[in-house]
Amino acid sequence: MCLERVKPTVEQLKVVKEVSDIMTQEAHIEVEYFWSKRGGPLSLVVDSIGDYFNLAGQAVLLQAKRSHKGRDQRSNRLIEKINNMAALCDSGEIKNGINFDDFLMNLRPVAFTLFEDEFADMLASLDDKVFRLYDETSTRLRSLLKKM
Amino acid sequence: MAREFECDPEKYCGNAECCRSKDTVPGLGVGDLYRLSSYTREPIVHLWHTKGDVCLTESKGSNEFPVNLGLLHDPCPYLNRDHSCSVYEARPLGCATFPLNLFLPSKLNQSDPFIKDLCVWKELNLLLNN
Repeated sequence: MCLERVKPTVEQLKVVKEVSDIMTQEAHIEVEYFWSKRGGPLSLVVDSIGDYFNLAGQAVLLQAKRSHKGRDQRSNRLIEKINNMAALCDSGEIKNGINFDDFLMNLRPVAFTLFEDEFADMLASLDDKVFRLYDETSTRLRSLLKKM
Repeated sequence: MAREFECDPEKYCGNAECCRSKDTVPGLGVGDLYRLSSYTREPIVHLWHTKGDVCLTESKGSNEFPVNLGLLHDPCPYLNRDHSCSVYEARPLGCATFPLNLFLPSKLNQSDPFIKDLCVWKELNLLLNN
């Protein structure tokens, strides 16, 4: 369905509000049981293009050590985005400032590579108690999403 | 109360662009990952390794980028060739609430209670940063 000029109905808004409340509840669960495992929120500081390529270098070394299934696609994606950033630098576009969305696109695979294993360990350590909380919210969500 | 979704057909229509556009990268919660894992029967950690990504949010003028869970999006690994969603019943909430989740503070008035109610990712980020 084309969404051009679509207006949400009052009923839809009510459903979205309920979904929003559940998402907030899940956000609290996530903060308490997932992010707390690393002591709080995670941020990546990239002050300069040099920082970007420093992180990219670390990511390439990490990626080279991994041997998970499907690594080739991950490696290709990482190298492609680093090359994109290098091309932006070579083209001189960097002097005018890189488009923010382009920068994030090129940073994401680098960040994923750096944090992939840490996040995997955090996910692996979630226990049944946490999943039961998500079972409860998921049951409520299932009926709501059918209305959207 | 109702607002119009100002769709840009070139961005979002035609080829499931919202499942691949850099403008519509969804943040993922652990709950989303859990539902995807349960629905596809792919263990959550394996799913993370094969289809996960990070979601980097805007840093509001600083050079610090909050890192959250995300899903590959170029294109989404669950996008079928016919542009349907292979995990529709367990799709991430960011996808399920699209386009209503475009009514975000960066686009509209943050003090508007309508926006505030919808902006759960903002609440998550606030929680994470406090």
